[in-house]
Amino acid sequence: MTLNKHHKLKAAVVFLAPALALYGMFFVVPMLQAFYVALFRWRGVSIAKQFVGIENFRKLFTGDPVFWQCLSHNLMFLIVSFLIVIPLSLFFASVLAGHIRAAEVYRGVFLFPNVISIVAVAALWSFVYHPTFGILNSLLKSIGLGRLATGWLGEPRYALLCVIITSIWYSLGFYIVLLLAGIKSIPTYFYEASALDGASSWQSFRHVTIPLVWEILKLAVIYLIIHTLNIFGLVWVMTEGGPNYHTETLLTYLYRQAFVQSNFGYATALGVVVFALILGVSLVAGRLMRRETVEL
Amino acid sequence: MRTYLRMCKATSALTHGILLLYSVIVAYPMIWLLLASLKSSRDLFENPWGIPVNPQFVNFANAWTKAGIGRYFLNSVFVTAVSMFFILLIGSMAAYALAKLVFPGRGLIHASFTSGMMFPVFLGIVPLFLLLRRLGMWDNYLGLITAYVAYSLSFTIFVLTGFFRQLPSELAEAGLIDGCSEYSVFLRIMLPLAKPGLIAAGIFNFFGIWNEYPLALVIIASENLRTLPLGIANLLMVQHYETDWGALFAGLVMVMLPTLVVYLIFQRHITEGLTAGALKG
Repeated sequence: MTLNKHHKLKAAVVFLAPALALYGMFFVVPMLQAFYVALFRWRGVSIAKQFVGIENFRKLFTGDPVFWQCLSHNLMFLIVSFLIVIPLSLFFASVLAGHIRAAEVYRGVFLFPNVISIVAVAALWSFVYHPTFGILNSLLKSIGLGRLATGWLGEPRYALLCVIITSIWYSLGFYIVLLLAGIKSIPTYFYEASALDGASSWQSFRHVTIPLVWEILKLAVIYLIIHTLNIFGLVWVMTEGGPNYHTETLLTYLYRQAFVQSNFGYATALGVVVFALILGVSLVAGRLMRRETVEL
Repeated sequence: MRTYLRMCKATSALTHGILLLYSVIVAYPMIWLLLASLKSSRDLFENPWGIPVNPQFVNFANAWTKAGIGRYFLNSVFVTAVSMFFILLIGSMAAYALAKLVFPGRGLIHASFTSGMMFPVFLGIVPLFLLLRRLGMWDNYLGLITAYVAYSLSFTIFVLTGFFRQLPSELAEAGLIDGCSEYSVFLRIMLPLAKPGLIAAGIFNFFGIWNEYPLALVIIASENLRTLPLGIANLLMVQHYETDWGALFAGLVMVMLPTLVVYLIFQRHITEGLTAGALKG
């Protein structure tokens, strides 16, 4: 018996060693180091590394208007996405959960953008918004609204909204599939009972579906917070944060600070702030959406 | 009653209308891209909406050779294949130990792997970059693949531990009694039984790595090492008046094609895995 136990321990060490080594060295250590690097003024060469304490954070919050601009863009991302994605995905999910023809085909189509490379999505939508041959401008011209045609991504007024719409196009399918699984797990007798009581389809949606998928709806909101605070590739490829910082987000600014301007300490402090923001906003959202769970 | 029926019909027609409209919004840009990839630059500007007047299949050849997409494509195939091999091998070994072997600290190790899913890629990106540069692993595939494996282990171990836990331990014990070592029990008995889990984890890692952009952007600098997303992003950012649009579009079609094929083959796995992962995670 002791021999067997000894064997198991040795086997466990062998099985776990490669994963622990790689994960520890190239994932856990860099993540933890971030909290330390953030306390330095560090231009990348080790000699130029200077301990400055919370100076980077102080500068971010009080001495850097671009940071606040980025934050407001990310919040805009979150709010617009929330207002569009949650109602739309609830609508599509509850429709697709019913007896509708070709529901699987629709689900397949809606989810597909989610598996395309974010770079390809960004490229594709750059062509939708392209000033000369773009789909959007030619659509406007063909319905007689040609005077509205413009160079969408180059316009400070529209650029951010254009990127947000692209991000919604990319991610909506994920939320539909998520909520669809939730709605499908509701036993049909709840709906039969509410129909017997004479509830309209809106009433059964309001009083059966919503309370019973509430926990998954909460999860969807938390995913939305994570996705929108982590926006990077879409913005970097579509606009590089431009025109003139009008679409700059927290992570494109982090990338610029670190890998264009070599302000490694400052960029890492920004990374720590984004991490804290994601945790903080998710906790607040979870609190706000707290509700008696309905037991099935 | 009749008006009620008519109303039902009207709402159902409206619902179908909305579903169709959104399907068009999703699919149309991709169909437009496919058509545009067969147009000459002149045809594109004169006839952005229509069917290509004179399909230019040469765009694909130009994309493959002149625009460098061929090289990027093969780079991506190599990086994705090697990364996936190591992720699945190392991940399944660890998941098996965490699911089936009893040893002190098991819960803690499992928790430390799964909690990694909480950390955003960018939090550790500067320290990772500095580390890779110090080790001579920056701007080469050793560094990129190592980073991909390290970043994918959390999710992979989370998924595979679930699958290994469902397998009956009696099978492993029978193997041990018959004189197999722990290692051959894993390789010959447990790993083949965990195939559905390996497929699920494989699909998600395929999409994750084939499409990956930020880590590649930070770790790869040399032009000839670019993966497809890096190459496409670069072509798009340096575009100017003499850009060969047809080749760029053809390149985009080539990035999306493998994901479309995998998506169509494994669609059921993907929708189920996605929700299972999201709901548990």
